[in-house]
Amino acid sequence: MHHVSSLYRLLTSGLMIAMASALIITMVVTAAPTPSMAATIAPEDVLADPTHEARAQALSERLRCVVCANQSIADSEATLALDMQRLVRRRIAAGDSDQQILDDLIARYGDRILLNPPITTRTYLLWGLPVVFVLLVLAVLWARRQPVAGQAPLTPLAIDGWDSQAQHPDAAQAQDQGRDT
Amino acid sequence: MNHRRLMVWLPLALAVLLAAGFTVALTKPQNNLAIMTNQAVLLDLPIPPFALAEAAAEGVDGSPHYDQIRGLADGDLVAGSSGLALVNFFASWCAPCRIEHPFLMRLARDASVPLYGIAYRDTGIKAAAYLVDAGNPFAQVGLDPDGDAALGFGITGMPETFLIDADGRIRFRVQGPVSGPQFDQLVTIIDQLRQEAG
Repeated sequence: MHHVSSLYRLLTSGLMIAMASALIITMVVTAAPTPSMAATIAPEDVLADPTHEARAQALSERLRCVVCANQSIADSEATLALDMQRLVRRRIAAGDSDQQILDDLIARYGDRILLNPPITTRTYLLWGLPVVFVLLVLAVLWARRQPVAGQAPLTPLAIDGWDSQAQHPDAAQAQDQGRDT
Repeated sequence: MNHRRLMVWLPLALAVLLAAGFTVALTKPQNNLAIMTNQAVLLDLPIPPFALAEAAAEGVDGSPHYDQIRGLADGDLVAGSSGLALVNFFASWCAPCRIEHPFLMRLARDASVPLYGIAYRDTGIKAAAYLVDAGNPFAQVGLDPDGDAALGFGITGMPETFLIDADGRIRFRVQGPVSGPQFDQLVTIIDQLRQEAG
């Protein structure tokens, strides 16, 4: 029983560290805007004004292609995505602001038209949970940290509230296994 | 319960709780609908402005069927005696449109809800031939060759149908063919809104 639970503890802490690192890597990687793989629109549709074209490209990378699997309209060659890219360019050329264009598309297609869901009461869990999870993992790691030299070691027995180590000989072994990793 | 036992059972309990939560959320019928479609989006919003070409504008006159497609603008929509009208996006190349077509013909027999057609990314020749072949349930039809009007309606696929009230507001939408249960649902909602309007 005891070996099982110490192994379990090892596994869970290992798993938590792995998940936390995966999460952090994902957050870092996705935070940086992924450059569009290739321009998908026809050359004649490219806006003459380079700042306008840059805005159109940036907006297109934020908009979800509604018929593709998690692709932006900038990356997609689906007819609907190309139509939407032309719409974005037409409206930029007509002098509309980025926000006006986004607001109109959200009114017609809903929040899902945005690749990054906006923070609303429906999505605060989605955005908040990763942060909470990372903090939780840090808190666990802090609680299980190596004792600083000179400090009295914090034994599992002390947590469990047992009187002495002698009452439970396996505990010392568990402590060793836990700390070696 | 001692601490170690808690360490074993707590994650398991959390996992079971999470699984239960997912199961409830995923099997809730109305939730499913909301995830799979964007039904709620656009509801009660006014229809977007649009002005669609007639078939003759393609410059291939002489075809006997061109009068099927005389062009359509948002201002052309007139609610029937029920205070409602339907806007249907279709295309001659769209297979599910053929499935729903008999249902549209049935709706057209109820003259109190006129149907208006928008031929999405289609040519006048093909769309007109399709309507002559399958029957034309529409009071008026326009061509949307570049899909611009479709973007205004938040279209994601063909076909799609919108129920519009006398104020030009979208009261209901069907994504995909209006057939079977979707047809029954649409008829029920038309009856409800008709009674509301008095």
